[in-house]
Parts: sequence; structure tokens; C-alpha cells
Amino acid sequence: MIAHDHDPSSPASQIGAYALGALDLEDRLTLEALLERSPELQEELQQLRQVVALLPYAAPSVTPPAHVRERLFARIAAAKAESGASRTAPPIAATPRPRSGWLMPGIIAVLTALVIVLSLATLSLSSSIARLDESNRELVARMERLQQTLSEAEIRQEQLSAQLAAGQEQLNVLATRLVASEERIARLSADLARDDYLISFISAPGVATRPLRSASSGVMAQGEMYMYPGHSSAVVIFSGLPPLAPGQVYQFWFADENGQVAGKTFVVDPTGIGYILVEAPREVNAFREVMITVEPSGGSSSPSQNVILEGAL
Amino acid sequence: MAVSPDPDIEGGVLSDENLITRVAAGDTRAMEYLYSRYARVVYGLALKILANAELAEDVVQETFWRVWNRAATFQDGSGAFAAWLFGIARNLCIDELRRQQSRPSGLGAGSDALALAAIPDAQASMDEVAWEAERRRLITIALSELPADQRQVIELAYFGGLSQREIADHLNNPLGTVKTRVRLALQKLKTLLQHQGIGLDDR
Repeated sequence: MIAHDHDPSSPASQIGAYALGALDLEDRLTLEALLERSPELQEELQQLRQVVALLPYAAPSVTPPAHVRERLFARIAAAKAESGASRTAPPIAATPRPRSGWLMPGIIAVLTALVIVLSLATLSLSSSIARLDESNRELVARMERLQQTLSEAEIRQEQLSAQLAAGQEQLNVLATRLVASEERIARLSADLARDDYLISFISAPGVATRPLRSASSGVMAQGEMYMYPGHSSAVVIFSGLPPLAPGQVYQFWFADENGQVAGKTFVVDPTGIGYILVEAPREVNAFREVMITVEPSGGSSSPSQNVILEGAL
Repeated sequence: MAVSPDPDIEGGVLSDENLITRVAAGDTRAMEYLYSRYARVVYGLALKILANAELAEDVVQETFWRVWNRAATFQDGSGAFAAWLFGIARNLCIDELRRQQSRPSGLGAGSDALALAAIPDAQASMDEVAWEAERRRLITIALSELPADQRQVIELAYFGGLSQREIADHLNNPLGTVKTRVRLALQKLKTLLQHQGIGLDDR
């Protein structure tokens, strides 16, 4: 027994029914396509055909009447006689069944002539049937070949579809990676543009600097503010700012005689080094001093008492 | 049939494959040996399927006529001749059945009495009769060891000429159940016959 016999849904499991001649057409064509590709299945079929060929012995054995044999061998003898050495296109030379002896010689002659005529007609009919049978076999063979070709084309189509799907999936992965790379390039470009701006800002002629010093004895932070008198933009570079607890941010403040003006909030990485670009509500040199405080996330409208850096303008 | 001894053929000693090769060459004596060896089985099979003696006789004659005409197309193989011969006979019977749009009586009901005692053929040699009787005994035992529902589907398929779908309709059973029964029945028959040491290539 072969392995796929155990799967009742597989076409190969129908090999017994095929040997028995009990398969419906669709199942038969499917199995025959499979048989052509499987020597193992062919071997199984050979064995099962031997089993099936024993079934006729289960029917009662009966000796056929003698005239069956006589007619058969008369037919064979006639075919041999007509074709000589060749055994093609044999005529039917059936011997009539044994009849009672009451027939008169004249009637026998008529019947003999009738038999001859009928034999010739039967021969013609047999020849037509043989041709039709042959034609039918050729059609079946062609249909089986077409079925085989169709099966192979379907298999090829499935393979191509699988390859296409794999290629599409790979393309999607590459597209995703491309988008991620483009986003990263965009971020790097933005960082680079900002760095260029800061460098050009702090190195341009006429820039004024103001130091920012630690306002808390326990913090070793310091900073440098770059500004242009008469302009509202400034850059603050700092170091030593301690990391903040979750929920806290640093906030930049401008101050003059009227009070404090809130600037942007920011956080620093573990190095404590960083810079910010600040924008004052009016020219920077209109303010007297600046400072950096610790505030809750989102910033405050007035500074807390936790001042980290401060500097006079 | 008691065929006169042929010094070349040696009275049935030759295998089926050797005989069919001789038939392909136009040897009528070899054809007589094959007829003597298998005509009873073919006739019994045709009677079982068609339940009509005259039609069964026609099947016997047409079967062996086709053997004579198509001997050259026979493809040799282990035990293949009997399978080929019985296949021709059964196909003729099933074609006739379908033409008549009728079925033999007693299908299924008589499955337990499949193999009756062989009717001796006065013209057959003792070797032929003994060999055939042994085969009949073994297949009968093997069939009797099948569950009744499996034996029934084998009967309907082989002797009734029904496809699995037709069997399912006939028995009002799911198609899958019929398929399973056919598969199990054939595999079990194969195993049983192998255990009994029987095979068509014995001859």
C-alpha cells in the first residue's frame, strides 16, 4: 500500500475504484493524470487489477454451449482463410445455432442465403463499429492528453503565481525600507540644515555673546547666548544640564522691568549638552536678562523658583 | 475443452503470455487453449451480470473474438492476460447492461452466495478444473471475510457496473462513505489474497 492511500480525500485513494471500473469520469481523468506521473501508483494499480481480475471467479462457473465455441472458431477460420497470412478485416462467419431437422432442403437453402446476406451486413456493421470504436479510443486518448496538458499548465500557472506573489512581497519590503530611508534622509537633511543655520548664526560678523551661569549651587551647568542687537532671534548653547524627572521640562525665559516672558521648552539627552534657537517677542537687546527653569511638562506661564541658568543681557 | 495435445504447447503447460504471443502470430491451437482455460469463467461472469444466457453467449464469443483480433496489441505483464481478458468481457457486459437500461436481479441480495459450486466441464482438463476451483475457493473465502457493506459495494461496482456515485444513489449513502468502503474493500481483498498466496501471475 502506498502512503497517500491513507488520505481519503486524495485522488490516489481512488486507485481501487479505478481498478474496479467504478470511477466517475471526472475522478478518472484526475487519477489518470496522476498515474502518468507516479510509477508507485502504477505499481499499486497493477496489484489491484490482479485482485479485481479474481472477482470473475466469484461468479458460478458455467460451461458455455458448444455452439459458442464452434461459431467462434468458424469465424476465426473464415477470417484466416479470407486474409491468408494477414489477420486484418476478418469477416464474420458465424455458424448458425443447431436447429431441429424439420426444415426442408429448400428452406435451408433460403435460410443459408439469408445467413450469408446477414453475415455480409453484419460484417459491414462490425467494420463500422470497429472504426467507430477506434475513433472513440483516439478521441479518449486525445482528451486524456489534453487533460494532461491542462493539468501541467495549471501547475505551471500556480508556480508562476507563487513566484509573482513572492516577488510582490519582496517588492513591498523594499518599498517599506525605501520609505523609511527617505524619512531618515529627510530628518538628517533637516538636522543638517539646522546645524548649518546655527553655525552661520553664531559665526556671523556682529554676533554678540552673553554667558549664562548656574543659578543653583548644586548644578554645574553653564551656557552661552548668541544674539544680534536689534534682532529677535538668538541661539543658546549649554552644557551640564542634569537629566530631568519624568513630567518635567526646561523652559527659557526673557525678563525685563515688566516681568518674565515665556520662551520655548526643551529637554536634554544624558550628556546634558544642547542648544536651542529662541525667538523673542521683540528685539533681544530690549530685555535685561534671560534664564532657564525647570517646569512641568507643557511649560508654565510664569517661572518656578527652580532656576538652573541665568544671564544678564 | 479437451484440446488435442500439441507437442509445442504441451497441454496447458504454457503460460497465458506465451499462448497469447502465439495467438498474435495466428496460432489457432493456442487460441483453443486459451478458450478452454477461460471460457467457463467468462461465461459465468457474463451470466452473473446479464442474467441472460443468449446475451452471455454473445459476450463469450465477442470477447474471444477480440482477443484473437487484438492479441498483437496485448501488453505483456505479470498476470496481465487474465485481467485484460476479463476486462474485455466485463466491459461488453456493462455496455449491454447500459443498453438495456436494466440491472440483473438479485444485486446485493445475493452477495453472500456469490460463488456457487463450479459446474464441471467435461471437455476441460483436470488441471484446468482444479486450478480454476482453487481460485474460486480462495476468492470466495476472501470475499466472505469482508464486512457485508464492503462486499456489497464491490458487487454493485463490479457485477452491477455502477460507478461510486451511482452506488451512493442506489444505497442512499453519502458518496464519501461509498468511496471509503470501496477503498477498504479492495485493500482488504488484496491483503487477504496475498496472505493466501494467490496471484494472477501464478499461471
